[in-house]
Amino acid sequence: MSAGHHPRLTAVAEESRPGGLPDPEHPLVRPLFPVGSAVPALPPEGSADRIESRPARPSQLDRLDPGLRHGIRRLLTLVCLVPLLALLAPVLLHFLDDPIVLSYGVGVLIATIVCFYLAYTRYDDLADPRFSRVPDDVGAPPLPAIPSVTLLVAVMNEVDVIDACVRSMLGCDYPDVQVIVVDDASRDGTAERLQELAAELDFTLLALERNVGKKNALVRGAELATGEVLAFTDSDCVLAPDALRRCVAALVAHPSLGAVSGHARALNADASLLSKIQDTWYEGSFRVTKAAESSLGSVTCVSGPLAVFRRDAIWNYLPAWAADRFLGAEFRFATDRQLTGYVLGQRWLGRDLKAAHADSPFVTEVDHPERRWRVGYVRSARVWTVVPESARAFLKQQIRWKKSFIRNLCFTGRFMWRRGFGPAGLYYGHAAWVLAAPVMAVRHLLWAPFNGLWMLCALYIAGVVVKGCAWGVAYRIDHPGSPRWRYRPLMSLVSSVVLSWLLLYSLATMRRGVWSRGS
Amino acid sequence: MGRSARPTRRPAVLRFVTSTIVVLAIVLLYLFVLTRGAIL
Repeated sequence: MSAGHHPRLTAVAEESRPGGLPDPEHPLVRPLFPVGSAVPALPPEGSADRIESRPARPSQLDRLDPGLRHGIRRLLTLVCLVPLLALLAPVLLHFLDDPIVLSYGVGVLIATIVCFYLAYTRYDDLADPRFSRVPDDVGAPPLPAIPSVTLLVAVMNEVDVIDACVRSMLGCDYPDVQVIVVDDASRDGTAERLQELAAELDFTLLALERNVGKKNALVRGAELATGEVLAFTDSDCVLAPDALRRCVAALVAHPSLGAVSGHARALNADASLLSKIQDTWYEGSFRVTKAAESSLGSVTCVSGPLAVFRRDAIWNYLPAWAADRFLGAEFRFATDRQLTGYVLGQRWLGRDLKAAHADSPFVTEVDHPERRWRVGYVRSARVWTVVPESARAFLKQQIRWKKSFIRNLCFTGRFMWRRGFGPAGLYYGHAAWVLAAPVMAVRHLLWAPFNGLWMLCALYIAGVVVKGCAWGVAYRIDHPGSPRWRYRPLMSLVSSVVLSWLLLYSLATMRRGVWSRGS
Repeated sequence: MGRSARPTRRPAVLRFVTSTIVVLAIVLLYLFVLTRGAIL
């Protein structure tokens, strides 16, 4: 099926040029904020913006004195967090009654409260020169005012969506961008479609004869890259025209940032109940989790839909990325998490990684210093990705993500404790939650009912739904008038009742894997 | 003007009733978890 058979994608493909509207779910509205003088002379904003309406508008709060604005934000956030704090208090009082079981609930509650607090009080859009502050303590030279950018995508068997993706890449309003598309030996007509597009549009097409996997394909593309900034997207994604510019503006404004992530939502959110649920999950995991991590300068996954890196932050580590092995076999998942890991951990692991690939041109050509880069998230850099519409495809994607998580835990987990208490607490806390989730699911959904403890089972399910409601309320606050928040509690339920089990399956099948979305 | 062009109150009433039920359900669920101890 080509993009022409998918009305939603066709609409995006046709309208992906600056000034186009994505679709009714993602209305194009006025600019998020004027790009001021603190940011280099990038193209002025205008009709090219494709920002979701409500959160994009400057609020009354933004017009206040920065100190007062921060104080009011903090107060409002604390008021909103009162219900969660009220849940936490009695659990803490009875903590010693059953510390092992209650530590899980306490951990989840504290992590949720901390994430919300950081995201709503400490995070400001990194492309917004009025408020964003990032300590310049890395010693990295600033980028030029308008650095050259190479935007890369690797594709395998994505004929449905590749049109929209490539057209949106070329629709970026950034003034100096080189677009490289790597076809990883597609067999479904993607290669032919890319040849047609290459004849029509201005981009570099690298067609590989043999399938090498996503990481290797991107590194082959990077060999042709000339940009001072390397940006990656996924072949099932559509970028807002200004998304790349906003990410680059953040890197230029804050020299200590080695990488930034864009903000992804579901492109096909209306396709099914499952896609609606995923869309609300995407919003929360970016708007809250990534924002919280960004406020600490340590986003642990610069997500595939839009991952933007300074060249000097990743160049020397591309061969290590391409040759990534785990449990004695080539590991083809964890593309974005692993690449982010090289930026976060090069200060401690960089020398060894470079030494292991000392013969690679990526290492011999230039030796970039190993820095303690910060990694951020740009909320206003919008990108939409196709999410699985069927349960089968959804489960396969979740298994890939769980495998990526496990693999990355064995890499990023080795150094995150060195990045400070906050980033380490969030990272290891999340890891503990993912690892403990299947145990808790077994205890409350199998053991408890078998032993007649129905109230315990009900309490667990109710707790999960209440936690989902907290994320749903956050969605509702950010998107006044949108009824989609109601789907968020379902995601928490699915995550705890269904997805938590996949960790065990993922562990058992770690060595198996190819990278395409459909597998 | 035909009947279809006239705004009807039913969707608004339905929306209100649905929203009220949803909010009440969340509040009850929250109170249940609050009084019995949170396991998330």
